[in-house]
Amino acid sequence: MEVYINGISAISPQKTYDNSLFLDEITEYSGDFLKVFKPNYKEFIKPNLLRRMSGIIRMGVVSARMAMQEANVENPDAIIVGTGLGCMTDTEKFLSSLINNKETFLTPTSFIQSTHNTVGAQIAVMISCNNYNMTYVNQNIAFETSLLDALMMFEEGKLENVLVGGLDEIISEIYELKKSINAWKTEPATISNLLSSKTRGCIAGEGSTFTVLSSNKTEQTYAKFIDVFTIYKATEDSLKAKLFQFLEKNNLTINDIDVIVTGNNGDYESDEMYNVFTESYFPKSTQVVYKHLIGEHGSASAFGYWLAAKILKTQTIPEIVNYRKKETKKIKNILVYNFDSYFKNNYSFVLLQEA
Amino acid sequence: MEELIQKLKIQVIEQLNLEDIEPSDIEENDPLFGEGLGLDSIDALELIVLMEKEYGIKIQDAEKRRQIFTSIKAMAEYIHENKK
Amino acid sequence: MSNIYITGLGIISAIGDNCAQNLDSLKKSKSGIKAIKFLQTIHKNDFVSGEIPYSNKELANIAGIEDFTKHSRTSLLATIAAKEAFKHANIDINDGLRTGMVSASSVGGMDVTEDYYLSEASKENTNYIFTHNANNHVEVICDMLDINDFSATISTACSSSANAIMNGARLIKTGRLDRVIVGGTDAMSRFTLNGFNTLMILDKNLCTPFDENRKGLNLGEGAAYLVIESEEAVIKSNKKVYAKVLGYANANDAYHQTASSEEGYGATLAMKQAIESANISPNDISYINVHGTGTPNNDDSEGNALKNIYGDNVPPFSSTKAFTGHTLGAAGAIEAVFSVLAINENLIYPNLNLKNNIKKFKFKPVTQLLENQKVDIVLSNSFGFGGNNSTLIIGKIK
Repeated sequence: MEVYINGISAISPQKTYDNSLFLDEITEYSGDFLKVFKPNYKEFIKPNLLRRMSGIIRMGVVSARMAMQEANVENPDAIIVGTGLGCMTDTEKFLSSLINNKETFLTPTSFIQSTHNTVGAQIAVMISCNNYNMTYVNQNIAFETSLLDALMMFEEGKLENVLVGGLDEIISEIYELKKSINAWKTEPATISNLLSSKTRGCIAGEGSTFTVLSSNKTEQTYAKFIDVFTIYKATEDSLKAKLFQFLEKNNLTINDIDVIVTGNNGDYESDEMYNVFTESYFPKSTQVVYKHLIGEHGSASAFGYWLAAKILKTQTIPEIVNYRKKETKKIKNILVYNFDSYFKNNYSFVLLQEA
Repeated sequence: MEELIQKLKIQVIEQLNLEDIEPSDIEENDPLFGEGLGLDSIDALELIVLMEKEYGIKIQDAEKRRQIFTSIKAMAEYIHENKK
Repeated sequence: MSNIYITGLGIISAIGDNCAQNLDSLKKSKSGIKAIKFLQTIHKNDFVSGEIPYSNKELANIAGIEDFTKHSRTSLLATIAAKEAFKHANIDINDGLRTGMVSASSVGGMDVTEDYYLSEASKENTNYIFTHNANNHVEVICDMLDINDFSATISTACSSSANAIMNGARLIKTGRLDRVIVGGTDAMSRFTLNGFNTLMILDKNLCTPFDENRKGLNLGEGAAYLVIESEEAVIKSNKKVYAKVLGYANANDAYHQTASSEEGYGATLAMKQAIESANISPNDISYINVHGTGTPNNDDSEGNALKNIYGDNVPPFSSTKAFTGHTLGAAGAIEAVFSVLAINENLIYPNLNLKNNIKKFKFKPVTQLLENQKVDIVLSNSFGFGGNNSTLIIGKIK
């Protein structure tokens, strides 16, 4: 049983929603946190629905539609979504209204739109999809948990297509809250200097990545999705053991990994961990990074997945993400590795292979 | 009444976040639900809050809701009769 | 088709602090819905609810947690139920079996967040930022019980914990885990109480599921967990087993964000697919624990779904939400626990507060406790916002 990536769409703080480009135009940071580079949402969503949708719902629905369009799929067998914080705009709106108005004159829209599974549900309504619909909310491994669910579906039965997504939004209120617990960089940073920072903290971002996984290979196919692994807590030793187990299970050794995509985000402590991990186990692999372009959020690793798929399809690595170049003739296997840099937990591996 | 109707149009547009709609786009006798503006049950709940917040009118009855919200004119008339 | 065995149960709800107490209340038709006591809300006297009659401090005591101020109420409830299930299943976490946790919550630690957000107190105390997320309680429990092979958190509104049970079963069936603690939790909060109030679907009085004149739901709170294990795991540890997870399904109504389609399309699909997955026929079902929130919309839609499958001959069914209130993310798991108890105790629970059957349906719920019943297979429905419809099928060990 093979699982193919036949459609993928990333709406991010870079102009990535246009799949004909591959990080050709780079936008430098501006402001405290990175908001997405928006496609024209009106092209995809009727005004009647759009008016109710906050940022995360818009980007989720549109990146989902773009991925489906690319894969030529109208009715996926399942819709599985992962989100770290969910619909923050609407949650905050209802909550602050609740507090400020002392529980009076509250309106339903923001309450309804605040439920975590709103994006998955909205997609289902828009395309009349009555199939399996799930939402995972376990922080920065929610997207990977969604991938796992999809993989299990393929193992379980004869399905053709599964839509999987990872998304999170940043709003100023959340930015400020997390600032109070020292999540972010305090000094200004740029794309070119972020990853050589010697301080803790990262840059806040947001984004939505959706992908269509299929049992059939087509001309659209980007890559094969091989496997995914997640774990809440790990020591250096236990993580090493898990890594080797993971590769062995998939008939690979560390030497087979041509590219490793790591979640370096400017937090020097975690970046050090990523780099030591890469040096120790993948000394011959090219190391690719991406959070200097899109910031950090609960679903940032979904962008790492997007990047890996694009690299496999184009067999090129854009300079801007090429962190540690090694000689690579053909790129066959890519490992995407991520963990939560603030808590140092929630580790994940995603394995993609050339199709 | 004219003034109330104009005011109501603006309030409805704002409450329901009807981004691309101007007050001049809404005919006072046009249906609000189903066809016309194409509002739905969530919008009905929003309008109930609008009525209470701006005009002090509480609407509990589901049947009454349907009658009051048939059009902007119907809403204006109800407000005119019941405003506190 | 490998068997999934239920080897442990844990629950805390408005009708009891543990399994035994919940069972006792069910047998005595004793509802836990009453005036709101602990939740600080201006609506205190407007609504009744299935609030659990303990302060957070008292809950922490029961949970064996020292500092209640570090935890959300959602997390305290989850800890109590998870510990009971873990103990009941006699788990030795170091026995080499791969153990995971899949849990669910709709609003996580919102009960604390809403007390601190935008307040003066939040300048001193930022702990609520950490307890807010829907998966915080999973981390607390995994830390406490030393579960680390896998964990996940689902949030699909009112079908959340039914989905958690399904996900756990699939992780075992696909060979990734040997046993999983599955379920969900949700505590009362102003956020949800007011949220449901804006939708105008709350009943000011005791809810009347499947009644012609029903007005809406009563909110509740609680947590419930089941330990599910593979056949191999059960044999290896010579475990006592209480029931089997026979089948499950999740389908989407794809109709509206909060309302269910009149014809109950998604609900029908979920039930049909769950029955198929269990390899049984609809008539093999001994008892249906319906979602039955008591809202005009749900009971109509669910009733139509029942009719779609059974015509006029629906097996004995009842909603237990008039006992516990609607516990949102915990509902699926609470009702799964009730289903296991029904099977083992040979009971069919009454659908409380019914005065007039829904006129258009020829079938009606069970209104008195039925004892000494042959309850072999139970079907349990949980339907959430976003048209998220889940059905679980639980069966007797034969």
